Amino acid sequence: MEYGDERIQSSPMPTPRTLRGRYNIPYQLLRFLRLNFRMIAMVTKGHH
Amino acid sequence: MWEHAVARAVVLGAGVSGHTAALYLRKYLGREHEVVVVTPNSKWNWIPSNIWVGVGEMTKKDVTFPLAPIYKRKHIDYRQARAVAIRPEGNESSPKPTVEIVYTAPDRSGMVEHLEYDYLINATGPKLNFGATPGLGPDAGNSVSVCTADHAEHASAELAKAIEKLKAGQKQTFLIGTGHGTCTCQGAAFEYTFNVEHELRQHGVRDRAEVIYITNEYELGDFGVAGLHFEQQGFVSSSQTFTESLFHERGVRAILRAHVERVEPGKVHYETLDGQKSSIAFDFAMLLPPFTGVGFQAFDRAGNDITSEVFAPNGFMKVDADYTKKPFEEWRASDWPRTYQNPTYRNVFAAGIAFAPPHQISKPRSSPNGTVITPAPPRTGMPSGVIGRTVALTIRDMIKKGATEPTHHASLTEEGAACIASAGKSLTKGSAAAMTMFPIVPDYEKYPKHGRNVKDTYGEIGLNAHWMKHVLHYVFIYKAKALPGWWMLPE
Repeated sequence: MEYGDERIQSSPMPTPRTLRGRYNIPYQLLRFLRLNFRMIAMVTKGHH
Repeated sequence: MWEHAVARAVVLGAGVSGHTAALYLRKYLGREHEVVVVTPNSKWNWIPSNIWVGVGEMTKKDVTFPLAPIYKRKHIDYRQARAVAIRPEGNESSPKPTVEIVYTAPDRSGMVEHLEYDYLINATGPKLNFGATPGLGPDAGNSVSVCTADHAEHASAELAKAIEKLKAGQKQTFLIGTGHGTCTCQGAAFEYTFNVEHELRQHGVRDRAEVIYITNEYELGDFGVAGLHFEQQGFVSSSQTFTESLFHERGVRAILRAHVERVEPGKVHYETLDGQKSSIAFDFAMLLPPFTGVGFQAFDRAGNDITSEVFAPNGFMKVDADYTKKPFEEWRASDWPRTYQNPTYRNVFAAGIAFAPPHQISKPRSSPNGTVITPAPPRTGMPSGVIGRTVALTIRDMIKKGATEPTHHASLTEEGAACIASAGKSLTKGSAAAMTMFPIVPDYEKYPKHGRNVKDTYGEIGLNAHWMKHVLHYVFIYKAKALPGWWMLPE
């Protein structure tokens, strides 16, 4: 077994609730807005 | 009052950085000034979406468009040619600087021209150095690539063949990653890995396929930027944990700290950081090449070769960075360039991938055999576009206001970047991992603990990131087509 595989096998797995949340449209729309704000803030900080 | 003369700005390359620079130069300079773009390609390519082409979710036409109509509409002089040499002091008969170009356009193929310039932006991007690893790449025929739209279409066709074999009941091994110990763009390899894995699930053949990620990263989640730390549910978590968890969830194996030595039909030979040499069999391999500069030369007025003064040994152009050789512990954020001006020739700039970084971002490491196994620093689309705009604004001020020093700056130590690795194309069934980082190059003086602002650095998996990838695809192609209001869209 490669080094990477050992680490992978002991890494955390998402819970069923987390997996459902990734495809929950209303929740993801909120996260999408948040991601937009994050990216706009990041772009604004980087422009001089 | 400053009386500006008619000037010619020549941009070499029409990728994200060069194309952005050319559009801004044209926007800000009056028609009395010339903006010339020299690029061997006839089409612009939104490279991040090549990943989708590589799994058959998009076609080459979806990610490219012809440059000539855009440049005609914007009154930019477009030469389909490649630069082979610059003479920044002119030649014995004239002190006017020139760039030597060789046409690649079918109607003028092979014609040579010495193009005079007042300002030069080298935005030639990388040479895809498949030759560094024997047997690597689509030309050698043993592995595929997604670096260009053509490569990605070829990869898609090969992937479809492998999926057909799986459907016929055969087992297949998919090996995806970096094809050399000094590669960059681990994010692209990571994204392609999970796109392939997603396609295998969609086709109902995942159980017969082994998906293996092979990388020169020291640990998963390094991405050539020494990994990331971000705040998550009250903890500061690492991109290593984040990435390993995704590999665990999707059943993808990983070979880390690997330098691919050679690729044979169906077999990769590699060395790991501990000096061990191994090989692995595959049925489908997408392995990225390392990058170098495109390799054009520079000559002084007397015709002496000054390439080594203008360019770093890796072929990228020297700019206002600190290239002093020093140990990792002494690396500073201030080593990184801010203006992208060549220190010798002040009217020459290098933007995007074409500038020589002062050093890696990830800690440099070598095997006991002396093999360097360290990611080169990535320079993704967002900073490349910002650098192109920054250099264009400086040149505008030099031409129109007589500025003698660069007036704008954009350091990778003060800029953020986003990496969105999206799998599938369906708006409700696709998935993606979004990561943002600020700044790109860690600044341990400003952020002593992790080198970055953990609040602005972030990682999340979900449909929202997948939607963002779609938005970026359409927004950046809109901007690159210079459609109304293009300049209001950020780089």
